[in-house]
Amino acid sequence: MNRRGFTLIELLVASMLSVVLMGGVLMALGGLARDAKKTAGAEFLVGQQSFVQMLQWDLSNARTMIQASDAKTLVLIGHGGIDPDTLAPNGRLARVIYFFRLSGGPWCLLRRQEYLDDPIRPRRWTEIVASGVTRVSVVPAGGQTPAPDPQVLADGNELPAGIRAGLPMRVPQWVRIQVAGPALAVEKLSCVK
Amino acid sequence: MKNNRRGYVLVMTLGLLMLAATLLVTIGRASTARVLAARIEQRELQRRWAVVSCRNAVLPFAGDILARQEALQNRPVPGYRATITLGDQRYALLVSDEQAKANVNLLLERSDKSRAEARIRETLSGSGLGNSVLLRPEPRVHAEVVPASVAGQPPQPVDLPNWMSGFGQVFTNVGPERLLTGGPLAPAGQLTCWGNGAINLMRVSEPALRVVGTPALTTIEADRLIDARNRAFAPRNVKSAATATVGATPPAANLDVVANLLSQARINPKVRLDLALTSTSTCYSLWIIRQDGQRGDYRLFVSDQSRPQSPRVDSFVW
Repeated sequence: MNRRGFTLIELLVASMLSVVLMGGVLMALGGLARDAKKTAGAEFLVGQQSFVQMLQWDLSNARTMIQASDAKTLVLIGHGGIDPDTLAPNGRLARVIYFFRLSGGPWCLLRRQEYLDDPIRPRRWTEIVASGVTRVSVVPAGGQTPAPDPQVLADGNELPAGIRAGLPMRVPQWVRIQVAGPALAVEKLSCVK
Repeated sequence: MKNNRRGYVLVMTLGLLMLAATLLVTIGRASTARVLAARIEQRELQRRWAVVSCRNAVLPFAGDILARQEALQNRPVPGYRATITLGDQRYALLVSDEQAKANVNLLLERSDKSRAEARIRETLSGSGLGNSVLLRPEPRVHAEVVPASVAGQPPQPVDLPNWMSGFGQVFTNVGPERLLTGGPLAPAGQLTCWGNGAINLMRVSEPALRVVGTPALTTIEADRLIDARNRAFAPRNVKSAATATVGATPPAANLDVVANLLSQARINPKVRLDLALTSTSTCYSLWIIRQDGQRGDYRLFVSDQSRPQSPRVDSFVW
């Protein structure tokens, strides 16, 4: 009967393998934690990006934009109508208003749409498009100066109660979309016309 | 009894290999997901820049493109379709002269809503869109102030209010693919919501002239006028006809071309004023269509220079 214990070499190899194994486990755990953080961040970013894409889409279809100086309200007038039932674009003349409301916890950005080509049935509907955002502004890029829109000025530009905005301007070809909130600051150059 | 403890080393090694394999698979899957996301972003970036490039390269020269095609084909070319490949994406470009189409605002200006709808249905007969026509004019439209016509210049049409400024106000729930179905007789090729209401006689289609010409022109007169116009594109006359369609034509020449065609068709010259006939265009459109498998991406740009004090480009995305 051989009751001899482990040899020194066996112990050394086992210790080395244990260290490598522990290192691998630690790395994997660290990676998982990082991935979890990234995933959470990515989901938040995907939400913001889809909102920015929607804003880009609305800007592309708009002929006029009216923006409040405090970057809390953005009014877009144009053919960016979306069917509330099917959520498919229908190209109808609509007024889209992006504005903020404090909804329980964080600030929420809302999109309100109403048809302008049917005063009897404007079909107003509002939806939350982003949370954790406190400012949205659209700045003309490339040295463009926004031209005033005489048509909307002539119309008197009635806005819903509680919505304050500036002067109506034609949507320029290139814009810089700036989105800011407590946890993010995004600036995107975009060709919308 | 022999106690062999060396088997533990093998178990540990196998466990380590298993962990390493799991780790590698995880890394591989994460890499694949990132590659996929990067590829989607790359395609999206390519698409955005393709649209910007096509719009900037084609739309300002739409009139020249159509005039060149007319010179090559010896016939009026109100719209021209081309396909290009940028990167690995194929795009169809459709350039059109908006003043060669029946203007919906003009129809509304000259008749009431139900009559205008009936005439649009008549124009679109056979397209299957008759039941989808429902005009929704903008209720509060103020015409922009336009300076009075200068003596010697071609007659300016009455500044047309933009009751309708997009196809979404003309049709109910009709997607862009249906607007473009039917080649030259597609709804988007027959109707327009843009421009100042002037009709480019050198490019207008026969159905469009009949629709907007009523009642100033009878059907027979419209046919005679179209025949006279088409004769002007015959090879011996092609040079003068092509010149007449280029936007830089002097106003006097513009007047002469229209007056000559009316004279050849034995039509009262007064019709020129009634219908605001012209031989030049200031409003063009460009469709940029990307067909990516089952998903289509449609964009429409309209360059309207008919009001020199406020030129504009409208865009529509579906």
